[in-house]
Amino acid sequence: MFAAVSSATVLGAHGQPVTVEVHVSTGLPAFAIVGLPDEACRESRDRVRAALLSSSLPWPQKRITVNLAPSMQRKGGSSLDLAIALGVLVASGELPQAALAEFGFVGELGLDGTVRRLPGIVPLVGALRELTAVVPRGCEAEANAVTPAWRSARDLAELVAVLRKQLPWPDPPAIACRVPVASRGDMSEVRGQGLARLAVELAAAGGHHLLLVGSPGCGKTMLAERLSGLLPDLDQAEALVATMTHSAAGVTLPPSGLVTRPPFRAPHHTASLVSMVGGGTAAMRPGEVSLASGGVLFLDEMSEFPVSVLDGLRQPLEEGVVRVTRARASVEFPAQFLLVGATNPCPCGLGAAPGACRCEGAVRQRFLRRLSGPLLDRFDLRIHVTAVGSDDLLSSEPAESSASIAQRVQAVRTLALQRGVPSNARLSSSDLDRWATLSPNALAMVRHAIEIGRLSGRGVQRIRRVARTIDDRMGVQGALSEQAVASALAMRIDVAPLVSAA
Amino acid sequence: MSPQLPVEAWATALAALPHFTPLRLLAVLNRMPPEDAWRAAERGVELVAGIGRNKLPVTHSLQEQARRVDPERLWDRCMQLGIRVLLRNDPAYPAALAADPFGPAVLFCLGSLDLVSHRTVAIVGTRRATASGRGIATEFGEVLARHDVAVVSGLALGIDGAAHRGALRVSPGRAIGVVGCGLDVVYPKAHNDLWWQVAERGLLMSEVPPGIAPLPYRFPARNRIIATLAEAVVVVESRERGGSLLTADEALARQRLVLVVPGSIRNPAAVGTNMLIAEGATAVTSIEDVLAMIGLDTLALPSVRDPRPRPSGMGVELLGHFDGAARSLDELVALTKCSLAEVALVVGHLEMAGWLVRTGGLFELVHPASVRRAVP
Repeated sequence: MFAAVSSATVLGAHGQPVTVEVHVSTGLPAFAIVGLPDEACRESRDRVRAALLSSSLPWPQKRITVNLAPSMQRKGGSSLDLAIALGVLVASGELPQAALAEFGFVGELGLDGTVRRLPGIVPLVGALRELTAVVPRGCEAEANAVTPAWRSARDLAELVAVLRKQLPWPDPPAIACRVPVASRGDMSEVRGQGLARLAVELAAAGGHHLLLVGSPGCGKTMLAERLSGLLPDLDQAEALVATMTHSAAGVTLPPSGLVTRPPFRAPHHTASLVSMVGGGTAAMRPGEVSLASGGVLFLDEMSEFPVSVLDGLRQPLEEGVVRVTRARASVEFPAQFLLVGATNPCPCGLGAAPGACRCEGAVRQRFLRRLSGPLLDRFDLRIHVTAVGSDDLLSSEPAESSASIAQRVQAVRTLALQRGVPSNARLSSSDLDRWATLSPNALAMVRHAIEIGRLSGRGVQRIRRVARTIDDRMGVQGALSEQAVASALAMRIDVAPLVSAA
Repeated sequence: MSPQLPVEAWATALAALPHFTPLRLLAVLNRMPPEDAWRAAERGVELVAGIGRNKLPVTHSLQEQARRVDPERLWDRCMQLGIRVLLRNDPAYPAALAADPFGPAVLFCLGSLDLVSHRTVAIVGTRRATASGRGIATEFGEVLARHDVAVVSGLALGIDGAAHRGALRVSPGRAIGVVGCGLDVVYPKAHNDLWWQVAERGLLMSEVPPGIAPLPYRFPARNRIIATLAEAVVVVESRERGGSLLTADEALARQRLVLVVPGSIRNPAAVGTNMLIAEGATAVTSIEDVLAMIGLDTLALPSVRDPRPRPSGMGVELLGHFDGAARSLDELVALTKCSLAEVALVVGHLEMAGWLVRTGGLFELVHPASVRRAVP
């Protein structure tokens, strides 16, 4: 007897459809799974058998062969459990094949027959295409984010009864509709910090990577956390990509099932390279850069991150995707994130003010060497955050709120969209020549910066993009104003050791 | 077995042994010829029992130390580099050092030795100096050199280097660099160019032979030479416990003039110098003060015009807010009550014109001396 059941597995952030073929024949009782299953997948043999028996369903004392087609691809995880169990039932004549025809099944089985939830429901359901997805109870919201055609199952016995048409499909629990996600604080709570506030707004409006340098306690983290609140909602396509990635990584999704707000990820500085860019031996899991895709990746204490991790960011920063290649498979994850870094200027933290630092020259150089060169160059905005004065700190007058800033951000983003790019940070050189020409005065200023060695060729492009955002914010059209270029230059400090030679 | 080497070669070999601190070397060479002292050291005979405390990082016995030094090769190295080795009885040995009971027993020199017969003023200060401190050191160095005064300093980062760069703007160079390591061991590396410029156009000296690394304990000894060599020591910026305070102490102990540039009480790089003033050192507020103190009038000073374009309008107002301290953009916005963009623009102009310099995210006034690019 033969059965075929549709299911799916996750590879990277994408699901791939799998057809579970089950063949039951006479012979010595045996149960074999073929088709490149990994460890967790092969163990489903024991889970399936136990689940069937505890659900008072018969286990055929025959020779059972399960093939996971297409058989060249590796299959990982436990998402095939449910499909294998149903396949065995069909092949042994307990269920009609026709009852399963319009469904695809994903879910892990407990030994007592419950259908357990598992990470990656969104990509899994996505891979089932036009079939009606049957997902574990509790995953309805995630499934609903992809398709309206879904059913949920609590345990195997119930599902078999439904498929035998002995029971109707149970009513699923209500799915929360879009609820506003609690944001991480409001910009009105940030006192003083005129320059830093502007830089955060520009970063959000133009998609410019931002580096905050300042002594401990001056509010770098506070500013970074509020940045994601200024970004506009994700559009439908971005939301789906973000949801897939989050789901594949097993990150808890918002109640509505769809990630609609730009994510904010702040990995600790002990993060490994694999956790950052994605990969791993057992499963290709998306890394922090992909989880932050569409939102903000915040690296606090950036100079404490291992050099290899920081260098690993360079390629995703440039290309917007990260390709992880292993012997078994090669996958591509999204990586369109806004990088926000925060660092002390030196180990003692006081080095920003001339003459205040207590660190040895060599110690400072070692501290900043991790940040030097190509990575630093990718930060369009590099500002020095100073401690807030007591007047500002104690003032009860609230500053401008996030909502009000977000309106300006949205306006600037709209202008960028009219130029054919999602944000000004993505303007290409030809776009710059069209949309961001330099006025004569501004040109003189840029020329001076090049002559004193502050700007490289790449730096000039970045200054122009930031200046475009500044002018967009102020509603200035045409060639870049001198003010915008001066501000852009002022917001691009050198993070070289300040103890320079005479 | 024993090669025929001059006296200086044996003294050089002795100076290469960590065992012989400047004080011990002096004691031993006062007592016996260098070659005999070397032979004794080779046999491990203790010659300086009781002289100097042994707190050096010595890991080997005297005999072992001596085994690691080859007098002949060391001497060849000196000759190859063109280093002049002076013992205390050499006629070319600087008179100021010879008059000091603790002057170095052996002196290694590179450059024009006649500089030491000039008037000499030392300019010293912290390695972590502010831009304004470095500007002052450069100005003092340049003006002193114009008055034919040799500028003595330690070639360190910060004030020392700035003073020498100023002195080298004048031709011929009037810089005497006194260092704490071998003359072929450039330290700090960032001063590679300055080091060799001083050697070529000025005078470079050390009391340790080539190849000796810049160990921390050698710097106070180097400061003693600076203080002895100069008739006046100008301290430009010093931290609370800076090495330049030691130089000032050494200078006072030798009845040298100690002149101090006062700084803002908010400037951590000026805490040491202000302390010296509080203790009674003479404050100098301009290079004219320094020249007057060493008995040189200021008439010979060629007048130098500030070539920077005069700021106008808001630029003047903005410059008025710099009272010696560094300012951030936020502070300037608060002080001027103008928008950030306006301040950024004016600051950008002032920076282009050379009135302000940016360090990290802070702006500082540029000292007029560092504007002049009058290198001949």
